[in-house]
Amino acid sequence: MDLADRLVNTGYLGRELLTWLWFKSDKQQGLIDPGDGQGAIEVSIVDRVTLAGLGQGADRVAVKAEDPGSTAEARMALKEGKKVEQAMLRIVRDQREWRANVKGDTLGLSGIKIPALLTREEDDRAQERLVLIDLLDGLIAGLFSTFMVVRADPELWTAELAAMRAWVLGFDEPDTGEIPD
Amino acid sequence: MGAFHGNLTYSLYFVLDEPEAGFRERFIESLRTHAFRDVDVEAGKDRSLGWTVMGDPFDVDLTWERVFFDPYVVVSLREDTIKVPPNALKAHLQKRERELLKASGKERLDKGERTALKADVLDQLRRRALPDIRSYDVVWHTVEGTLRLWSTNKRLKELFEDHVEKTWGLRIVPAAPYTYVMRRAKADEEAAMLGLDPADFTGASGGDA
Repeated sequence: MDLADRLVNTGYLGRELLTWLWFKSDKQQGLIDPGDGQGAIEVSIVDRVTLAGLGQGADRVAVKAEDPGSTAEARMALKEGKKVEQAMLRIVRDQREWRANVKGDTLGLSGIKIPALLTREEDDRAQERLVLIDLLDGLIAGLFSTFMVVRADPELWTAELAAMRAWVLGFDEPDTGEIPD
Repeated sequence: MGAFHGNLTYSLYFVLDEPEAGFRERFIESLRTHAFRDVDVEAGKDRSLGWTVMGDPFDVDLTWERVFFDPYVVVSLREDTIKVPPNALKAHLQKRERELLKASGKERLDKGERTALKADVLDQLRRRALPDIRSYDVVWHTVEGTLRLWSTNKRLKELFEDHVEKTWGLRIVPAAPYTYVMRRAKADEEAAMLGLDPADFTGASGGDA
């Protein structure tokens, strides 16, 4: 299998990472250790999330809301077997906040917002901007690494998957507006 | 879109090779060899691609002091394209054809004459046209081994990957779930990853995966 095939065939793991982050955000206030020795960070899905089934032409559900993961539409899509195709992540560490739209298949970032720059001189600000971008990429890499430790371990994954399934099954049914008899 | 200002959307790559000893000197020499040059219209080209100083598409005076922003290497990739609007080509072609027919007394040009005429008209118009200039920032973290291109355009990314290899002989791979694992260079982790199947978060399949 050449590299191009491997990239395509493993892209689903990025969607599973985003779905797992949603789960963690719901269940443990989004506190996740990215494994860089600096403690847990806070991760949440904000503003928008898109869920889709696998394969070209799959149905897609896009939700825009302050907390899109709490909407009935997003939860129903997950219950139907869709996974998070892309999501706007909010990441906080030491009171500094980053936001980025993350595409699951490639873990590509767009629409990035970094914390406010603290330095004044133009050269220093340019360097600080690059450092903050590095930090974001490092955090994404750390989150994926933390996820893969669980995902690739059969015992750990069996337990985690059971917990995620219970979470999905525990979503409230959407309000259809029907008046009960 | 730029590394130091503006929108933050880029394509991330991992550099697989460690720079060799003496890389710095060869690096600048190679950077200058593959610096941007104007479109060679004389040779029938309609585009050109090459490196410039970051932020200035007309500055190709690439020196270590101007590209090294410790620990980053910062440059821009400039692409010029000469496009002749189809309507302009058609109008000029018709005008030249009329002139040729009048001068020769012929009623029509044969296929070979039309082909040659079109090539000549296109060449003339390209010489008169201003190129479309696009410039994209590139930042290489020489310690972390990451490389960022400030564009997500698929066509440009392919050109960029090719130009990086030509310039520095470095192997780069796009950041993706697989390459995040690949760059850790642990064969067992890669193998484990390739052996996984998509998970079912609903339990509908009845399995443990």
